[in-house]
Amino acid sequence: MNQGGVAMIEEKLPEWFEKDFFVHDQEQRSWDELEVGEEYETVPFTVTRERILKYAEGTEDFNPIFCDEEAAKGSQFGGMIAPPTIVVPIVFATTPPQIWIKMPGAINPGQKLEFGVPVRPGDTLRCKARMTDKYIKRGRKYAIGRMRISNQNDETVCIWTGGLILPR
Amino acid sequence: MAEELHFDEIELGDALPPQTKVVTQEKITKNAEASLDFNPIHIDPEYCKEINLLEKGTTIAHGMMTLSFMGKIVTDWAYPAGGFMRSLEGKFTAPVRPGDEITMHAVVTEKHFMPGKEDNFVVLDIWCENQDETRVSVGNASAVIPR
Repeated sequence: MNQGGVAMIEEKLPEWFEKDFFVHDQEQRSWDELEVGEEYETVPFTVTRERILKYAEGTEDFNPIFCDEEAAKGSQFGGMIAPPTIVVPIVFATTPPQIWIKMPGAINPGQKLEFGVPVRPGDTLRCKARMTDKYIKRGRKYAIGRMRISNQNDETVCIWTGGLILPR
Repeated sequence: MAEELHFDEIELGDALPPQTKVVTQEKITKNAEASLDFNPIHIDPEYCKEINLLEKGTTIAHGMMTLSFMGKIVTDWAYPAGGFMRSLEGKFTAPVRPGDEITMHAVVTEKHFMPGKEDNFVVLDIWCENQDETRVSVGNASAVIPR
């Protein structure tokens, strides 16, 4: 809906985004080849109201603060915000396909999120990430990254520390 | 209407009201669309059967779905008090499969008294169990309770 000449906010996924998980598998390196300290960035992503509503529905969290602009206006947030965990799938979807976090067969052992400012409809999120550790535990290969997610005002939205168990 | 939660009235050991979610393949697939994560281990039962995923050959739910459940129990409690969640951490200890019933639990374990009363926060232990009382995730969160 066009409001007073303001351009409609549209979601735009990166051009290489696709649902077929294995298309880019050959571009992946093995755990051995990864280097602690290596960095990557995501493609900026604008979070629409529709994406927030879809995520609230997908995670079955219909808190009015995530779904109802009018109800959220009266809250401490002053308007609708996204469920805080939304940053993880957004970063994942906008990370280039050859980066280690996209390796097919990787298992998610757990994640840690430290939240800054909330995500609001129309915010553009970007992430700078660094691989901070790689280790073997109980025969499994772990790679850990530290991700800083920020918005269009360079405010910190989330510091995400987490990793994956890699299959090779 | 429930009385507003105040920091002073919170006691260590207070348990938040548990919540239960029933997980179905339809919900997992919906979450895949919502979170743009189309890993076949979540949405392709044939593929999972073929690779005998995690020894049972069924699809499994996104770990992030479980983490979002853990966040929900905290934000449901903190938001009406004018507060917010400042951190959330979870380890996924057992797979969640279609048909599972997941119950979320949270208990207050720490109270942090800050120079500005509106910055006071609590730490909670959080865990999710399935219908067999197996813990599918464990973790913690912190939440500011400003009044």
